[in-house]
Amino acid sequence: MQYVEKYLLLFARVYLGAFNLASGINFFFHVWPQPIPADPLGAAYMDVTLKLGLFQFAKVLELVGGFCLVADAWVPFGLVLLFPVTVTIFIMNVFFSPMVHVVISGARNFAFHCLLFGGYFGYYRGMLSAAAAPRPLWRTLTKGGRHG
Amino acid sequence: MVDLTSANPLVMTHFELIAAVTATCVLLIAVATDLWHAYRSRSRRLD
Repeated sequence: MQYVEKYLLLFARVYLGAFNLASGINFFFHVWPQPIPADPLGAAYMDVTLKLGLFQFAKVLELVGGFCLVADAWVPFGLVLLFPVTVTIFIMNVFFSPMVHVVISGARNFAFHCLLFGGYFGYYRGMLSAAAAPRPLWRTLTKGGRHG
Repeated sequence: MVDLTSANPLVMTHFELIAAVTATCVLLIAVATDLWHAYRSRSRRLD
């Protein structure tokens, strides 16, 4: 059972990472034409985000987050970086795209992302503190990484 | 600037293919490595 869990998380991590890395590299190096949403609303959204520079920023997040996941380095951080992109793509692809393969792609990436959040939950447990007192970065650094 | 007139939504499948092939290769390497370690430790025990 532990092996199934290990291999499932490994597959989801590399799949999600490679997908985002390929998408980010394709945007900056023009390997293939940039895919655009087939529905008019999605195309308009992409046009606006391109003009605002948000789309380019999302592609940088895809590059950094995708690299983290593929390289198995800073994975919890990479998952947090990629989550806004995954959610946006999930909403656009699943609820607005008329193309089946795009719907499946958005839903699968979102499912893999949720699975990975579950698999790396131990790293996020601290974020669920109900009454969180401040632990400033500058104090943490001066105390050699110990909180107090 | 991205040319929105010549864009192809089927490019998505290229990303899928890259992701699927990469993930499958890494998975197979991981399984093979685990099997190799299991085989080595078993043969060491038998020696």
